[in-house]
Amino acid sequence: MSRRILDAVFSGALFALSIWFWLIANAFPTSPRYALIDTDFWPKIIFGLMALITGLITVQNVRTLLRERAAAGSDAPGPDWAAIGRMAAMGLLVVAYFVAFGRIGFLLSTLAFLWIAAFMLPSGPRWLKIVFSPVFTVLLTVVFAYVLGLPLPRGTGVFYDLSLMLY
Amino acid sequence: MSAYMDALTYIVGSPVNLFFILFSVVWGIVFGSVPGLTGIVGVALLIPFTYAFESEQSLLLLGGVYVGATFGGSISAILFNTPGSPEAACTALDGYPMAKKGQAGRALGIALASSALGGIFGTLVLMLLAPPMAQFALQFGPPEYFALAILGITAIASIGGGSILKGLAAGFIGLAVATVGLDPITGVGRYTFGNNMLLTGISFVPVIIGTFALAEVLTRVGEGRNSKEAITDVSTKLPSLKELGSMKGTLGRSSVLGAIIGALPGVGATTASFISYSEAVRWSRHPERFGTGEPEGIAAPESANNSAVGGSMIPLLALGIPGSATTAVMLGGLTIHGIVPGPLLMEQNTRLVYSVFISMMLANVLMLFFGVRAARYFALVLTVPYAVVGPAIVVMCMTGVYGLNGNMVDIAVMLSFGVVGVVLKAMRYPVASFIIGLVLGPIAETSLRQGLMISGYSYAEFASRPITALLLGLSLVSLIYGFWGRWKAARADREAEAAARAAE
Repeated sequence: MSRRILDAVFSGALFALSIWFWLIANAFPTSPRYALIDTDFWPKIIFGLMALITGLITVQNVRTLLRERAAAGSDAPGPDWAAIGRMAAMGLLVVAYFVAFGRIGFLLSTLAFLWIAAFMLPSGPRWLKIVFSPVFTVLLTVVFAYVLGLPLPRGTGVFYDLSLMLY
Repeated sequence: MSAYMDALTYIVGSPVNLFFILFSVVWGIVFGSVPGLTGIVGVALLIPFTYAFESEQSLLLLGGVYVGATFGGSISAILFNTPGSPEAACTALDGYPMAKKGQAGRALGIALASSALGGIFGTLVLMLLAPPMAQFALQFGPPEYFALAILGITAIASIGGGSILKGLAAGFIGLAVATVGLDPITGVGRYTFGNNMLLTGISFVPVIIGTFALAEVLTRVGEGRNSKEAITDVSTKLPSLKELGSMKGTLGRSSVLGAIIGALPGVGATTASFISYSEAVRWSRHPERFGTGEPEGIAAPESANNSAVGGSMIPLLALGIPGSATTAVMLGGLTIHGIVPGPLLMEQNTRLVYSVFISMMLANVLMLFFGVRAARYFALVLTVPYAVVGPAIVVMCMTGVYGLNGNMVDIAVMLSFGVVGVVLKAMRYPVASFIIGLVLGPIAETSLRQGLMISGYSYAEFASRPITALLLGLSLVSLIYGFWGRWKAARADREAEAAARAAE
């Protein structure tokens, strides 16, 4: 799928979403006291104008796509799937960190996340990647728990008890 | 004057406050100098930490970061040919060629001196104009605030570069997200889909941290860029008074332009630096030297973008309307302290406002000191591999957002908007417009509805108030100007294409 098609699909999706949200606003409960500026008043303006703008972008994208295909016989180059793959891998790791953050607490999840993420990314010496994770985790724990007095997740069960001993 | 003395006593009287200014300038320079991090990310990541401090101290921190980051961008622009922040893009045009000639220290010195002079000028303008503007704004009613919000949204879409329609669409996505939660007038839940957590709306701070900081890390990981070689063996050499004197016209003009452009709602330091650079070329006796390492090519954008910092604080403090994407993020920082910027803030909390003025002045002076003494160390930051910087930012995003309320829902919001930020960037919809829309949405909605109630639901009466009409007119002009600029650019492209075909 080319960049132009993606552009058109994205703006088309925004257009469809705008219409859908406009229809949801249309079904909001009404209050006679504010009939002229009711609950649906502002959302309808926003989603109406958004539908208009995204509709125009979609038309523009489709026209450009057709013109380019007519001129060159093929459309613009496709998206960089390797980049999307790298981003998705990091995204999945962040989601896993989020899950672990709540379940096993800040210390262990952060330690593990920093190690895995650092070794996933290509640049930097190995020793730095090994040392950075524990140093940064301890530093952040001290700053949050002892200097600023802000909460850090403690995890559940045995991890909760462990965290109570540390911060 | 007593308000200034009170604020000065407050700042100087506590070593913690002075430390905060110092820390924020260093933090800002670091974030500004690392390409991709930018001052907005620096401010956004610091917001949760400010939760533990007094509101005055929070603003000292955020203001200092803004000042430091605006200069910090020039370090990587000069030594790395990669602007640390968008507002330093122009600085690279002449800064890097000068560095390649073996004059990196001189280029940094010019950038530093121009940044400090521009920053001090912008702060003076802020000190002089914000109080009378706030006084004037006391006459503003809901229609004027609505018109100001519209001006902010249309200005950023039109002048921000790129497609105006995409800029407007991004602004409207922000406005749309701001509609989630209880209706401010009728109290009916909107777009909550049965989830009670959404009744209070979508928390602002997780959204900005997600769309700016997390999205930046994910995008950078996707790009898989390896660090380029940076010139790190450098010592800053400030320009002599004679050299500064030879650039006084450029410095003065750019500082004035920066303060004016910065003060326009929705337009920021990046626009200021580009316009100042083009004006410097126009007014120069040797325009052909620009792009080859011309000192005025560094002085113009640097004085303008730092002057715009003070300028962009004027609408934030005096009107409660952010003057730039960074001040929009700062607005989020103020809300977690329960501070509502605007004319009443200038009346009721003078110490806070005047502390900001003084701290920004001090931050500019400190920036000069740090730039001279520590530029080589800031340059070393550029050599830290992204394999540790990127994951560390993710950890700070998660920890900072959790620290706000101690709940995991905020983190889920941050992660979701991280994805939104990545998608918007990938599709070339400006994230800054999205944030401005999100910030201005509630102001615009409430003002419009209250204004209509006051005017007896008459749109004509609503729009015929002189200031409202003027601001709405300016919004229209900025849109027309933007569309005209795009039309001109498209025509130039078509002509170039036709010329190339004819040549073939």
